[in-house]
Amino acid sequence: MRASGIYKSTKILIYTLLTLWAIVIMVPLYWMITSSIKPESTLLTIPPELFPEHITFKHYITMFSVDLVPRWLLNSCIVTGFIILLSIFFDSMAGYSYAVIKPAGHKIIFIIILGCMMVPDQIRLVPVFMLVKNLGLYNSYPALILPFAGSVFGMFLIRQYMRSINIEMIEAAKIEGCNELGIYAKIVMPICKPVIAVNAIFFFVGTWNSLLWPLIMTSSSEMRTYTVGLATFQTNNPTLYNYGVVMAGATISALPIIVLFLTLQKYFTKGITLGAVKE
Amino acid sequence: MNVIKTLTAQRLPFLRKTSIRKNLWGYLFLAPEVIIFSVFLIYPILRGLLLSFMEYNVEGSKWIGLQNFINIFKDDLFLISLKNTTFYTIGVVPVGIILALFFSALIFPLSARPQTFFKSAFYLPGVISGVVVALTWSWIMDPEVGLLNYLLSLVHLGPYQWLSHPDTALLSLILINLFSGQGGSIVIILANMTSIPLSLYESAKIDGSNEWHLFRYITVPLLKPTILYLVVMGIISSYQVFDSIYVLTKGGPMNSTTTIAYLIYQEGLGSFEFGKASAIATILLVIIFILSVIQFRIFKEEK
Repeated sequence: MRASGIYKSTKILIYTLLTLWAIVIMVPLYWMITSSIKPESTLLTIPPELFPEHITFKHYITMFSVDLVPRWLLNSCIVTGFIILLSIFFDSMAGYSYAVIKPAGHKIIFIIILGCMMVPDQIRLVPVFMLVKNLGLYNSYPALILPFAGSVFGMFLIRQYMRSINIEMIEAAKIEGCNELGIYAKIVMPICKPVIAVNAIFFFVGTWNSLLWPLIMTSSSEMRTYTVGLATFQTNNPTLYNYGVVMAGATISALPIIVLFLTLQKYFTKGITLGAVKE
Repeated sequence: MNVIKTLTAQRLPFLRKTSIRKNLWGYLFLAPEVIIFSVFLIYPILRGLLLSFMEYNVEGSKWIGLQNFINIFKDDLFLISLKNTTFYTIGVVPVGIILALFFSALIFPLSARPQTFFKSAFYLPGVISGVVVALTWSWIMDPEVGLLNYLLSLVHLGPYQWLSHPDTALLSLILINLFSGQGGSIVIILANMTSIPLSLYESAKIDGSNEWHLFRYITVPLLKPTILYLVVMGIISSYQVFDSIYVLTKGGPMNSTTTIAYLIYQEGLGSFEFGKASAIATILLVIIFILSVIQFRIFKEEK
């Protein structure tokens, strides 16, 4: 620990700089939450009221008075839930095949799919839109879910993790008459819990926050996810639009993510380093 | 007989009974994901590449060779979007990584608990959705009643028009991105810094190096693969920036924030110019590919 080697004055300087940056980047979050609970009378005052004196939940009530807001939240929950479940299921099955079963030709398939990760999403925008229309899925839950029911990166993380599993254990199970399905379900999946948790969290954040894909997959207001509804709120509800209401809407969207982050921080930092740190 | 059996088994392993069963299981496990990826990933990529050489019509598409690309490079809006995206990337990626390196170096010598605290504090804004961040900044950057102009007025600066003026709109988007905390990069840099052997620092200290020298001549060179990773990922994502533009500016004012990704969305799903949109996407693919190759080359040579 190099801490012992630093002088006290440098230590104070380090803490000051780090705290300053933390405050600066937290300001938008703070401003969002406090603006959402300020009454209109103090919302736009100059100088701005930095610490709200009077608190009101009026903006939240206004937000929920928009008929579609509960529906958008429900849509987001349905879509996020299915994407998490399906991609964990499919990613881990594929990861198991690449890492453990290794059927003939698995390397080529793996490389082709990994190569697709490097291709920017924009090239698929129009073709996926056309495909979903042709399949008659446009503006439906399957359109919001199926294209994302597997993730290359998620599969890659799981495969890496499975490669570190002790092969002898699997061989022993095979000798005892366990087939691949049994090994996958009873032995490998329980071992993979940490990496699956990381995946679930990343799928949750990614799907809940996503704008572009759900925007182009849906046309009617009823099928919007909450994030898309929020992004198009101003255009669709010009009379309701004021900063208090929008900040209430934004807080509703951010709250699940913030709560998740505060309770499962470890998995967040683990997930981001899994792909980026040399072992 | 046995010899022949083993010989065939060695030559043609897929003919062995256990092998067939193994392959069947293997494909069965691969099937769901391979089907999803074939339909929604590989096929659309190929279709997109093909579409960029076509004029799309509901009745049928016509092969027109490079005409889409010729049209695009004559199109002022495309050139503006290319310029805007490049400017945005230059503003976001190098500055972001320098900030991340700076704060990582500050966090690194601390003990475990404050380390975790600052890592989390810096990372939190980065997990909030781009839409939420953008909406919040639209309020903070409001020219009349926004917090930012008020704070600047305390030091006798401004007022600025931020997102509503063509000279400052793109710059405002860069600022918004930089103020998202750089937490992801910091977490990655710190994780890689811990793998640098302490003995290197100790022997350099004995030789009389100061902290800056340690950072400049040991930490940074040993972090090169990490920095390369961050540069490549940063460029890839900032060349695809969309959310903040969709929410805040829609490409305006006066196209000053139209980026390549936003233009593709506009042409493809706004005006249904499928061929043109696909051709721009193909150019984006080529740009990202070339930039990645160049970066790998540069870093390889320096090694």
